[in-house]
Amino acid sequence: MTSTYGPLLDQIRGVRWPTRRAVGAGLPGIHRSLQRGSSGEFTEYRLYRQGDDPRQLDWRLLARSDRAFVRLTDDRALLPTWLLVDGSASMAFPDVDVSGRDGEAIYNATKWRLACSIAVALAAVANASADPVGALCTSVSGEVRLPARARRGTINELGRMLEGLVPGGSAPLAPLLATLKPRARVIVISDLLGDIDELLLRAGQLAAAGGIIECVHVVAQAELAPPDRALLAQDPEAVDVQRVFDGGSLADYRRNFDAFRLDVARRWRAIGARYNEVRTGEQVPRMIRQIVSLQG
Amino acid sequence: MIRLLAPGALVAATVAAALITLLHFLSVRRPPVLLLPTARFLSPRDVRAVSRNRKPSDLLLLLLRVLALLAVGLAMSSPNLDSVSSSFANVIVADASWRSDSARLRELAGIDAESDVEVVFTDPSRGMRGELGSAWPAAWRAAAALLADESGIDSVGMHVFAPTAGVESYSGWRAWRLSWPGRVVVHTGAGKAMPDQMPDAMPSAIQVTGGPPDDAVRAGFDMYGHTTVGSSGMSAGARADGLGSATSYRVLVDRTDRRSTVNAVDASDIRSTDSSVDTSAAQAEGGASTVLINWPQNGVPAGWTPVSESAGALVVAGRAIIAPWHRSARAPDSMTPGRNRDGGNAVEGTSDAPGTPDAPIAINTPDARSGERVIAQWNDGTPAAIERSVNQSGGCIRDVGLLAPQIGDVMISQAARALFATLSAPCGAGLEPIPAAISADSGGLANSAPVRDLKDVITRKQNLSPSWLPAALLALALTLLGVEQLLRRQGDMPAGADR
Repeated sequence: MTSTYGPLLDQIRGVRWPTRRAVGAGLPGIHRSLQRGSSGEFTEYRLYRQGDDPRQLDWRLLARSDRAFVRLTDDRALLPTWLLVDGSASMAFPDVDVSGRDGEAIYNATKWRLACSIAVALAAVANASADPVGALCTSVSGEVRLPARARRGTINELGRMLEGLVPGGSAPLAPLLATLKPRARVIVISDLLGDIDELLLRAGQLAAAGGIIECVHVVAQAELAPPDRALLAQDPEAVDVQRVFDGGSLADYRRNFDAFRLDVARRWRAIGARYNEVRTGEQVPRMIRQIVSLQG
Repeated sequence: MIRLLAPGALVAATVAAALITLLHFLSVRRPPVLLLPTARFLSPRDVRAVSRNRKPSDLLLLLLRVLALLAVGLAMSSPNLDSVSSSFANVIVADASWRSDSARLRELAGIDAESDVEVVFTDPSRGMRGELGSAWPAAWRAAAALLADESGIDSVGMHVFAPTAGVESYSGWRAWRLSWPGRVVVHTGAGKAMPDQMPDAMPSAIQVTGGPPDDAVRAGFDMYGHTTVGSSGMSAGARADGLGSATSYRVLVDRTDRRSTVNAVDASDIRSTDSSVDTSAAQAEGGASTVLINWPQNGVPAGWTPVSESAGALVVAGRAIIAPWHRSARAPDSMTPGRNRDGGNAVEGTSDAPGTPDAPIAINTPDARSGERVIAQWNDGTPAAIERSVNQSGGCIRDVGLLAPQIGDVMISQAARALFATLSAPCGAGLEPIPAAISADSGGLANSAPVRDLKDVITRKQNLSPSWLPAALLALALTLLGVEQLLRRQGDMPAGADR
């Protein structure tokens, strides 16, 4: 695995992924916590109130001013990160052979490869901050779950797991999302062509419960610019959906697809989630930096 | 050789076959399948697409379809199988008087027995005597009948047997003549004596039967029978030997008393039916025509009405014979002015006022219906003698309705010479002959009318020959389509293709 994702991980070394808002209490970590604690990072003074821990009294200040103040510090906590990777049949597009390829192609040639690369990269970024990283994947063989761990070797374990999966079927993502605890960062990596409505519903519930939701919409370049010749387009997840694709229908297709992407972006943002669209063929480290940035 | 009556159907079928061939350069089939996750964003439509091929697809199906279309087109275009050899047909138009001897018409027209001939006769009540152009409607009808019955005809010859003379009008001839796209042979006076060719003809013999031995009429014929109207000084009996005239005819004068005896009544009855006896008597004998003169000593000619009137003058050949004439008979109503003349005859001086009640009948103008003409009339315009032509033999019958005075020298006077010369003149003498411009008119065309030109005028009857050919072609087309369907169902077409 290391040989597969090693170059990619080298390119994102040093990238941190702080949360946009304070997280709940937890084990000490790097994420700003809603709980005030006793860390060494001073924030402010507050008059002593009965019940405060006497150890937090600033004795020197008490000696100088004869007034009792306690030192307040922001607490830092860990944030579990869950990667929800869509391994349905639609992610195996375009159907190109990536074996033997090297460089960026092995990371972004197909939607599935791009999703795996992003998942491993984001996991590495999160794990670099000692955050526990877990993963939930769908595939042709069913659901695969990797528990959230912060120990070393988790990235390798995730990489091996994803390498062993074959995208297929049309398993929904929403049930997997429902199994996650709210106080976590959940990254949904999907083409959003499955159970989008149910997924948005579950994601909205998580976000309302305090979860941090990130959506990484994976789009293939071949979906944006399909071949300009007569083809019978068939949905790999719904055999009965067969449409003729030719030059005459290209404009309608593009219009409909653009409208879909705009709509899902709006809906994800509406529930408080971040939305990022990534496209096959683009550089994965750049996508990672875009995703982890605080803007957007 | 196949001739198409409606070639437009075959042209349409050919165009349709060409379109079918073009369509075979296009393949309408399911395009290659591409697994596209975003297929849902395409608008639903037929899952077939059109693509172009460099070579026509499914040559066997194409062949079957083209053959079926051409077979249908050929069937709908009314094909006729004509024999390669061409043929020639003739149309003979003749006066109704030829009806009893149509075989001779073919002989006179010089048509061999093998050729197709359509013989038509003009209206016997009027016919070509009234208007020579009346031959043309009959001619066109006959030509149309020929073309309808004989599909292999190449051209049609036209022969018109016009009356020898005395035609009332030629005004319609020219217009009709221009419409006929070929040569027209006009036969005038065929088998008949032509008056204009024998202006000085005289009878070879005058035979008077009946009557008293000292009959004034007999004496008159003896004196003036062998003279001509225009001649003078010809002595009686000068040509009694039958010599001296290139065209011989004889004159029979019937002076039988038709008033008293039973036999006379019987004879009158026979004559009143017109004339089988008189006609046979007037027929040519040995090739010579005969003029039969019915001039009863007493009584009236057949068809005449007995009267007893006096008259002051008799007009014959432009001369008036002034005498105390006794008019013993009135001519038949058809020849009497103001009586049942409903359109046949021209009146004196005009040709457009038939049936005028009191209009006198012009001498030498034949009645268009009966062919009768007045050769002598009283001073009041009523006929005193009429001439009736007898078929094509050239003979005629002349009825005289005046009582010849036996006392006095009226009948042998110089004034009576015109009467006897007129009565003994050849049949039809004094009639206007057919103009040479018509009889010699070929219309500037030397050949018979080609059928292709006649088709422009004649709407041909759509006779299909053979009649089973369209049905066979349609059956062939259905068979081809059935085979085509069978091939398609058997899956000979490429998999996935759907035309």
